[in-house]
Amino acid sequence: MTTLAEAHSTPRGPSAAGRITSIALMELRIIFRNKTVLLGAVLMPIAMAVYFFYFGAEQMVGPSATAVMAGLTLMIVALLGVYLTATTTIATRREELFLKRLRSGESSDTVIWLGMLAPIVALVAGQLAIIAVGFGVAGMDAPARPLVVLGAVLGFLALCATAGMLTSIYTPSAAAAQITTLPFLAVVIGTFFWTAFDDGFEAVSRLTPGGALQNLLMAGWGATELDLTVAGAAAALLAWIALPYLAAAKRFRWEKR
Amino acid sequence: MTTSPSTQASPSRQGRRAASEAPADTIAVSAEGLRCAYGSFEAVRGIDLSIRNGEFFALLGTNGAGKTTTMEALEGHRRASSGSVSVLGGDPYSDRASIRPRLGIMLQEAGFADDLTVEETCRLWLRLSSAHPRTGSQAEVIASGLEVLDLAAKATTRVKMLSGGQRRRLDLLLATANEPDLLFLDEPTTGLDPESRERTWELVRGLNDAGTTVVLTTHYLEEAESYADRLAIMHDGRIAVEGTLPEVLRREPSVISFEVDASVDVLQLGGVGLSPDFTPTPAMTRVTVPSLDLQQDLWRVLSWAEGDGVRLDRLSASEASLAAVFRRVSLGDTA
Repeated sequence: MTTLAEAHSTPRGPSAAGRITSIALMELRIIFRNKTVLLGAVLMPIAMAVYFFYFGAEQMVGPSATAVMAGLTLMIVALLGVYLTATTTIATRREELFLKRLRSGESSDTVIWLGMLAPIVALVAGQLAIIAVGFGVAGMDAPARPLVVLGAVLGFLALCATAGMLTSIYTPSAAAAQITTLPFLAVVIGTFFWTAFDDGFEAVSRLTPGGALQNLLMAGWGATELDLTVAGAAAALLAWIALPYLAAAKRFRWEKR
Repeated sequence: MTTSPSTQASPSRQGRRAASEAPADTIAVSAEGLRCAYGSFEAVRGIDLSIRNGEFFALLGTNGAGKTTTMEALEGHRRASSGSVSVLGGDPYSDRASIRPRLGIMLQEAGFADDLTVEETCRLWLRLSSAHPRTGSQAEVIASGLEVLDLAAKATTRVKMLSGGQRRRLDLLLATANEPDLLFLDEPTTGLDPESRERTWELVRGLNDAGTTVVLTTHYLEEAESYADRLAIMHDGRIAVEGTLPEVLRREPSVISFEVDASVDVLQLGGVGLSPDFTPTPAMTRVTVPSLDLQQDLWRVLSWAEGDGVRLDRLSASEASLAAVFRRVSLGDTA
């Protein structure tokens, strides 16, 4: 008899990193094969960022305005590129029963999640890097504290990814993602702008997802001091990454209802 | 009900088990008081099960009997509501990392990434698996597997272009890719044409001969009759009947049936120790006699007919069948 793998199980299998890479490469392959997904995941966020840059650049003078511009761009690219794509991708893979297939194999839940989300995050990180170069060439001020900005960007990408995981639980199909993602989009964008208002609720607004991002970017571009407020914003951002992840890990559905 | 493995193994099975790495008398799968619920609905209501290494075990039952839920609990896809499950010495749910490399799982319903080709799907699966090609490169191994299940011509076809039967064969290919110690097959041949079914069983029997324990659910009773060492029939979340095929059939009455002239008093059969069921019509009476000893009861019927000068038309005697047991169980009769 010949089987697919005239193969022999050995105690040493591929590492978790190896499995994540395999799943991630598969996802990338699928993304690049599907023109609609490719358009949504790559071209649309860049187009929107360019639109913002051209129509908002002349008003973006000084660290605060630059931080707002950067934050808006990051939000649009990450929310569309990571959050919406992650929600749609996971919902689609669940609908196709491919998540169930992956889970019938040897990979752990975490490996499967990371494998699915890593290419989405990596793609958007690449887009952001290109946009950052473009902004630099166009004369936008470089951040005074690049590590803070980098942390804020990576943190926000992670937040979009874990929020996508969570939202996918309530998203029965890719089409339904157009609706189920709206509340989170509204909350993030709304809270980002909320922090701009001196309404006496700053202690609260900076703990929101958008507020935490805004505060970190402000500090990153030197518009505010690097003080405990910024540390609080960083902690809040970390919490906003962890909470959806923990909720999703607990309630995640591997197959359609 | 506790269902232990039969103490007697057929010679052919003993031959197969010699090839197994695990001792044949050790237990591959066991469940005690297994219960699984979906909210307030309890799909599995207390199952005791024990399957030996190298055994081919079939789990049968009507739709909604709880087979797939039981399988998913054994596979580690679903946590039991209560009771305990042991698979290859561990808890399939919490010890997944250590157990899964030794399992092959063909789910009743599991999909593929439709935009990958057949070959890419196989390659991805092997990359995620602990299995390492014994001979040849990964590409050669994939090519060989595709050949066995008649998918070689579809290697570069995207999965979304495959027919249902081809997808099912690809499913089997992935489940058996790591030459598992324990193979779960949930309705593996549903939707397959006869030739594909034959190829499927050739592959599965080959693995079983080499020592792989097989746990099968199927709606094709003849498959269970042909391949299973032991079988169980589930109904309403419980195991209603369990044993080897002869053990299961022994509890099911055979049937003697015939027709006699309407004037014959068939109740006289009660006088020779038989309990006939009969359907009278104006011209004749159709009689069926359930029998737990076909030879003896047939002799009684013939003696009665000869003694009373009764003509038996359309006489037939049929042994108990798995289909009859299945029908009885599906009606809720577990006696």
